[in-house]
Amino acid sequence: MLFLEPSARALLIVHLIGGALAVGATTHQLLWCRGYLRGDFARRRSERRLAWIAAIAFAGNFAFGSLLYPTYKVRVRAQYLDSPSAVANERELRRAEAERQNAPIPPPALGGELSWVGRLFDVKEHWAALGLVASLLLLALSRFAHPADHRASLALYLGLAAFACASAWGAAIIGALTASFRSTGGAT
Amino acid sequence: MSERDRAPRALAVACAAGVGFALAYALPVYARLPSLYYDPLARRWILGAWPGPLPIGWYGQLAYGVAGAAVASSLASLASRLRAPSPQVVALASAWALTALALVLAYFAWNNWP
Repeated sequence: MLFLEPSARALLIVHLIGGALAVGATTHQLLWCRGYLRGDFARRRSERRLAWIAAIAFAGNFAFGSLLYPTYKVRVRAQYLDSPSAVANERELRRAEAERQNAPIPPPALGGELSWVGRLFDVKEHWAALGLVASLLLLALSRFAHPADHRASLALYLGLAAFACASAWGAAIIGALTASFRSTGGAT
Repeated sequence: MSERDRAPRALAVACAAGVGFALAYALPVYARLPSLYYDPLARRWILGAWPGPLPIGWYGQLAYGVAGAAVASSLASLASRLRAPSPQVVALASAWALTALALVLAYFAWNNWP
């Protein structure tokens, strides 16, 4: 049995909730920074709280994703996405089942070569790692060099907020796309 | 140390941590350096050259990144104790921090894009 495989589905659900929280917190934080360009720091207090929430959500979700990774790597990546025979067999099963039920045949686009999904997921894991760093640096700046007190940090602060937000969105979208093909395993 | 002196130093240290993490994170892949791998089938850790497609190298990359961030931020902390960073240095470090993160992100997107 793989590391934490029996808990993979539960971990995936927690990962999904954590992802939604990270996307929400990073997006809100970025939006609440928008006045800073005009020198308006009225939302500073709430925005700093959001920097905390975003960093905790990002870090926690990153940890849950890391725990899930061995199961994904074997059951999803190696045994499905990178295995043309597994994909072809499943396509045939789906096709036969559709014929038995007199239902439309699944479109071929859903059952072709799927190794591109695994490569896209590789992009996601790197984006998430860099996004986590951006989120933690943002948290540090919000405590020790907030642009309200130190205007020289404004460009870096806004850049990191945009980077963390884009990373969270990118990782969430690619994660959902991957799970639409296969998440933690099949019927077992 | 006053709040006024602390902020540029914090900025320099944060920028160095960002640059250090980004570059060190990409280093084992770019330079094919020995790294830490987790073999999910054997449930064991492997230290060394790339052992094949199944063992996970991402944890090793993260370890490289954390080490790079620790070294770079320590050096920046030491340097800023000796001499407070000027506004020009802070601006340059900020630009480098964002550029390094964006470059490494683009590098992995380019390498893995379907």
